[in-house]
Amino acid sequence: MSQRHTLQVFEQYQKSRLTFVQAVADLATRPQNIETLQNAGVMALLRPLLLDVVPSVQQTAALALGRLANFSDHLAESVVRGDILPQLVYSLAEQNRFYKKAAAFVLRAVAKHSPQLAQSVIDCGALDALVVCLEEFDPSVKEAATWALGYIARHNAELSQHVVDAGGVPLLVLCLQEPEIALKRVAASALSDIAKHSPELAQTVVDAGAIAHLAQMILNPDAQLKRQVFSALSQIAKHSVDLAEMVVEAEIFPAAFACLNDPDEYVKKNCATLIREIVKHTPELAQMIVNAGGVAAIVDYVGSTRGNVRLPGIMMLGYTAAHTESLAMAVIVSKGINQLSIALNEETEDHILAATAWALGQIGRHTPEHAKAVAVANVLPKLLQLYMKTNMSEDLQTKAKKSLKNILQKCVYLPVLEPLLHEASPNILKHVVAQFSKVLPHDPKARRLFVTSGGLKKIQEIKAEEGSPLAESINTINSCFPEEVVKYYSPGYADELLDRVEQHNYKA
Amino acid sequence: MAAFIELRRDADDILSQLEHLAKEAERAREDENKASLKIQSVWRGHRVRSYIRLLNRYATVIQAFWRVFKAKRIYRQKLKEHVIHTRLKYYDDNATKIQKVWRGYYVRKYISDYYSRKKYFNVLEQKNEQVRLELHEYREYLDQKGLELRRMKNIQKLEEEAKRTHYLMSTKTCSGVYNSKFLHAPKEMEIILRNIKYDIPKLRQRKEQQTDVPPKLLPPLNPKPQGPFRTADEVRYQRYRPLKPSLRCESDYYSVEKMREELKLQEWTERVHDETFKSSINREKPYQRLMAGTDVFSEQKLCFRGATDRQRWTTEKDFRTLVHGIPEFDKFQTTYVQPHYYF
Repeated sequence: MSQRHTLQVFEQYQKSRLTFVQAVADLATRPQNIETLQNAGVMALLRPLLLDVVPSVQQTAALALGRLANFSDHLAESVVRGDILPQLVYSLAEQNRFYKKAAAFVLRAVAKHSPQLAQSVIDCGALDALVVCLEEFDPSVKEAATWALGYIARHNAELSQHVVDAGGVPLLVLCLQEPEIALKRVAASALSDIAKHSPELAQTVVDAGAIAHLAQMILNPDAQLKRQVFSALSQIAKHSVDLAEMVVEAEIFPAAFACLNDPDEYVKKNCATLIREIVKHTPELAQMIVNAGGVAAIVDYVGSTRGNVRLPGIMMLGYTAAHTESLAMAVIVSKGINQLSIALNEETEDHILAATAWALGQIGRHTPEHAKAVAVANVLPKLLQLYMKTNMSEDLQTKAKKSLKNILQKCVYLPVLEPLLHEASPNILKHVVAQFSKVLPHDPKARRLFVTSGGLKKIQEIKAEEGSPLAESINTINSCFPEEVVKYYSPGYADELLDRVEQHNYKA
Repeated sequence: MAAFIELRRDADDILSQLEHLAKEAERAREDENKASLKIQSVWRGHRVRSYIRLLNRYATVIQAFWRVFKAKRIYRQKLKEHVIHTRLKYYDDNATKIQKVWRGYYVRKYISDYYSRKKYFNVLEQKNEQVRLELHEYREYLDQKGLELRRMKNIQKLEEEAKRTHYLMSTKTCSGVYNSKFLHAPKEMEIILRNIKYDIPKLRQRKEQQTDVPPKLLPPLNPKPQGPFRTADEVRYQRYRPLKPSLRCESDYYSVEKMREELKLQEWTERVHDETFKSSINREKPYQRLMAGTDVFSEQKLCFRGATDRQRWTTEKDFRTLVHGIPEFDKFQTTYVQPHYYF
């Protein structure tokens, strides 16, 4: 009887500890409670509970702590200041898997906020413990540890290097091969976070054999996994030609284009980003993508998406066209210009417009043929409009101007240049007039059209400084026409005629 | 003398005669002089003229020869020039032909080939069409799948709903809300309600009575741990699931040694001849066989002798490497999970 009584006291104490911790953990899920909890000194109370005899109290305490730390960097800092981390790291190696999971969650929540906090997590020796957790059997522990490692590596190259030095990468690659989707997802994201900082880090990820495993998963039905896989591949490919070639050699290519049609927006975007990162390095890589039909896929993608998702596709077209004229022609042949001009008209954000203008400039700058293809799509007036608008960003204006200049310097298709003659500002006008001065001396039909469409009249109205390139072009144009025609279209000619009428003497 | 006197007498006569004669002679001489002058002049004139004519003829001959010579020289010169010119033209033409072919080849190979470029773009267009078609098909497939999924979900939801609202089904006497008499056909829900297979309600199992015997550890709190943890049966499965280690773990710790041993045995059995290898460097010193080794049949014994020797001096155990194994494997099924979570 008395034994039972004694035990009952303990049981009650244990129960109330557990209810307290559970209540705190529940309260910590709501942001509005956090401040109250903090003011009530929850940190100080949770810390001893981390060392509780009952494992479930420990776990739930860790969970509550993790939720609190997840909420703000201020709380995360107080976790660091409370010297809780060494305790967690110590128990990470000792305790059962539920506790490990919760502890890894706390580490992740702390490391998430800033590089300094992540560094303090590393300083506690958490990396080695987390890496050991990656060798655990339980997938959820691995997942939590992987997640924590990814959050640590996310901030900067130095922290990623620490993760690599701790031997995390080969184990992360092993995690990729596990059957659990969630684990694969997190491992791919962690690898992406490691690879994104520098070519060396990406090289270590590649050396661990990550590409082959990542490449296998590109057609996985899970959208979130695909997101992470494509992001990891693009982070690897972005650094250098060699790395991009390694990614291409994994033979992802015709298959990856299918993901440009994925229902998930981020999968699409990351896939397009991957293609962009590969294409931007060399003409050969771009050629490879073009030959596989990638440009058509990207053009369709640009047509079917809106806003920021569209951006990597637009940039991919620009990068492809920038390499050589035949690649630019391939973009034209794949009907890329139509989609780009639609994007130019539809989009409202400055950076997307700037990218579109840049891409069009890259396509049109090669030969007159290219320039004509761009000009016929009626993008020049729109580019001019973007350049002339004052409320646009500076970057957009310079990009629009540069593209206009590049296209105009190659364009010899006069019907599209005519309207620009009436609308363009002087620094664009000089290019337009220069193009007329190149074509008109050799083309009689065009001269006739030029006069009838009022171009010559407009030319006479332009005020150019003596000796400037604009004045020289105007002179060249004027010398193509008979003197009286030029005179007829000069602005003061009517008055001059009237003066002559007055001065005329009647001779009987 | 007579002659002389005669002469003297006739002197005057003679003189006059002489004078007359002289005069005559003078006259005749003048005439003759004139005549000879004429003759001379005619002759000389003739001679000179014929000489000149001769000279002229000579000159003509010389001139003709000279002119022929000169003309020939000019002709040769011209001919030479012409030949050079025609040859040059011929070579130029041929050079142009070679250049034409070479330039065509070079440009098509290294700079740009219009037709191959055109062909390439045609092929590219076809490829693009193909890719577009494939992607379109893929998109349609995805759409259809999504639609199907949504439909299934909807049906499932309706069925769930129907299970919970089974009492709304119409009976023979009283029509339900989905089977109003004002409708000419029952609503879809009514049909679902009719067709659905209802679950047999589960009887709640009573909890076992707690015994008074105090447990060794603290009493268990709750079979299901609080928090975002897996369910008990999943955890149980996890605990008893067959070991599926990675390749690194799967291979035997001593596999290398074992393999080595096996290879050694294999080598021993497959040896072609038993003659020892004689080195060319230390030829003076022949290999000294042991007494036991000279007998062919006791070779095996020799091996064992070495083994027994080794056994005498060393322990059974092999040396272990300093690289420690994965501690989790040693703990498997012993300390992996605390037993008080499961019952």
